[in-house]
Amino acid sequence: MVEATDENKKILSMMLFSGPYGSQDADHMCRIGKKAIEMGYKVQIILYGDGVHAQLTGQRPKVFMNIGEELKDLAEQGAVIKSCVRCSQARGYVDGEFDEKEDRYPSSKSLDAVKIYSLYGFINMIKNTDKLITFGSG
Amino acid sequence: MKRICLLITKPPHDDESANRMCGISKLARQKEMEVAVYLLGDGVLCAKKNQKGFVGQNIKEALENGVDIKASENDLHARAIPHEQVESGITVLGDLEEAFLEDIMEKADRVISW
Repeated sequence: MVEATDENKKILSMMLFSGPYGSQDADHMCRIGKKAIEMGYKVQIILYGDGVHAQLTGQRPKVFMNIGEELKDLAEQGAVIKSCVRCSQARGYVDGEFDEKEDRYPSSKSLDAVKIYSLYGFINMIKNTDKLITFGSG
Repeated sequence: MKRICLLITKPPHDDESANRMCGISKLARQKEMEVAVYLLGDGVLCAKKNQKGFVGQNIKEALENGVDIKASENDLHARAIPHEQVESGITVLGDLEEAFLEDIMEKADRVISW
């Protein structure tokens, strides 16, 4: 276990390129994210391409890991989760223009735990990360 | 000495990931780098013994070249692969995620994931 203050915690970033339930990519990402937080690391998640479907509200898989609930849990434990606005807009998640006050694009279909954000905002996330791993293919 | 970690979550022959993993491992070892490969999810199928295709041969060569290969026990069990069917030299871990994170966050210089 890594003991560190929040400021000097190492940061793991993960990008998800494929949608949930078609493969185990989202499962792996959530399991690794959960373990990373347990081990004392900060976690950042970027949903991109079909990965943005992981942000959909109301997911109710009968037998698979519920990715929506996993993302909520990760966010509650401090993970920062953002999804690409272009990918989200293409797939029908974005309801309007950027909300400066909420610091996100509005969406009635996305989990509160996930902020829809400009791709340019991801650059700083990646710049400040110690390690970046990706799941799925674009 | 530089260290790289490779994470494989895809099965052999489904796409090029296992082949690339073997190729990169070989080149990294030629440059005297430490190489650790983590097999997760369907990636554990790369660990299966007696594969006749090029991936099976490449995995054996990687092990002979000193590549450290670890496979997730949970994912092997999920796919009904007992320890006896795992290629000799591959380490089976109960908590692969923890070992992987410890490696990439505290030891490895670079990580590549497929």
